[in-house]
Amino acid sequence: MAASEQLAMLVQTDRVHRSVYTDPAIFELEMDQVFGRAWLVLGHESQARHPGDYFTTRMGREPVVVVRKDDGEIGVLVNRCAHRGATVCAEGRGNAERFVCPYHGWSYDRTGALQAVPFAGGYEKGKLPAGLKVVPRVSVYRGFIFASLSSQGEDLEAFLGPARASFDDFVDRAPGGELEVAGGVFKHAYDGNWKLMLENHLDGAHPAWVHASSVAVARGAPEPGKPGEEHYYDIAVRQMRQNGAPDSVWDAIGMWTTPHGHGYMGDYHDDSRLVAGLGNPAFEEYRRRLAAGVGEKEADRILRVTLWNTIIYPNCSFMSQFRQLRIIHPVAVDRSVVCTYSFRMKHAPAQMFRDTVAFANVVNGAGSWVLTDDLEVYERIQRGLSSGAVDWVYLGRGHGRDVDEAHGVRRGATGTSEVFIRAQFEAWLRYMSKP
Amino acid sequence: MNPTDVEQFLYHEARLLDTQQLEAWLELFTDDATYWVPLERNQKDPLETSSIIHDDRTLLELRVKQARHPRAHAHPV
Repeated sequence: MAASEQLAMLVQTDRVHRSVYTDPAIFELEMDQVFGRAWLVLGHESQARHPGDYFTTRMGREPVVVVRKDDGEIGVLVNRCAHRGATVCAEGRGNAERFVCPYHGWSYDRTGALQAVPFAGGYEKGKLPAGLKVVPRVSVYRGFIFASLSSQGEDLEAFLGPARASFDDFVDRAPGGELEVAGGVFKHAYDGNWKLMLENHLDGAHPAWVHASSVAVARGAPEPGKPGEEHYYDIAVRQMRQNGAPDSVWDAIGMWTTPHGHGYMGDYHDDSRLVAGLGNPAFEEYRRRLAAGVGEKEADRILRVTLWNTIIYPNCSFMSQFRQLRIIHPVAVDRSVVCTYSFRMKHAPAQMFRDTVAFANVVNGAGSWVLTDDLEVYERIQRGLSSGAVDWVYLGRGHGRDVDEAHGVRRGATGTSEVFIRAQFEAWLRYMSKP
Repeated sequence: MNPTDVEQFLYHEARLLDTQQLEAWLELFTDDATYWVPLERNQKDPLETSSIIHDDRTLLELRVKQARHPRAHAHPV
């Protein structure tokens, strides 16, 4: 049987075989076929504004350096010396004229070209490599940096398709369209497959169970202060309470997927501060500044967009309203690392970013009240799936009732449909089966 | 308070946590306490930069309550 037929047997319309989460051979194939081909989110232009500004990250398991080149374009270099293989750039960020390997001092310029080699006379003439491997395709959508390890494939806009609207929402909300990564980066790991995170972030049926403890204590928290006199953590308490919304709310929020496995869910908040900031002086000032740039009508339209989480398959999840973005790095079939970034709207009142920070700490941070319960459950899933006694993972919520809309968009019959996981696996199978 | 007292106090605090006496641990904190675990080295500010934990006394109390909740999955007691 051909490998693609074997793969197709693992992914059926309403169930997948457990081995897609546990088989190291499938993981290896994913790194080549999925992470080696798809456009991956690497970060944001604010992380590398000026020539020489760089930051390190990963594309799947490839260590890379994202750098602003002298011509103003973004370059992505594989962080691996052409000589003996050490990473030439320590993990982190900074500004560099050259990247110098710590082992034998080979140095590379901002385009990755080899500049200087100590003991150069010791090598055969004409045999020295040209430089670092350059990631072949880099593209930017509204300030967000993407790259693909494959030299061929569709362009970024086609890849994103209708999911572009989520990035538009993210950027349009910022007065002047100016966003910057700020406030520190949370990094956490879990002993589970990378797909488990992406299968969780649009799941409206889990908060009532996974987050029961934080919902309960948030309901017992002091009432939020009057406008202008809030506790710094009110916004996070409101979010935790909102996770306890009734089933009818979750079913009604809306859930959409694209042919590339991306997905987005409607907002489930009915909370005045989170959605419209009614009566909150900082939010009113923010709204005024937004409208000063784009006009009242457009500001009104922007603030009425109700998107919650968006997933860009296969490596990113973000919350446009709260300016949180997570990138997942697969490490092994049962190990993943997640980096969580907060964004500041440069021209919004300072309080708006303080809310973002407080929200990040409590909801998405490493010491979070909410995330920690998700991580525990991911690890329990991985342990359960290691059992050979049962083969299948059932993804049947809403199956058979999905609704096809324009541009390849598919909507779940309800907001709690597992349509987004089925869409992820459809995309997965296409990537994995492609010769 | 001499250095030995401080040392003994820290042992006491750690023992309360290690033995899951979370309510007794909470009583060590005054009403105006801040429990701060910064995210970044040399972090100066808990409002403009994220923190692993940045709790006032109220949030600390809620954290203990969460850990005691029967479905606090990440806090098996």
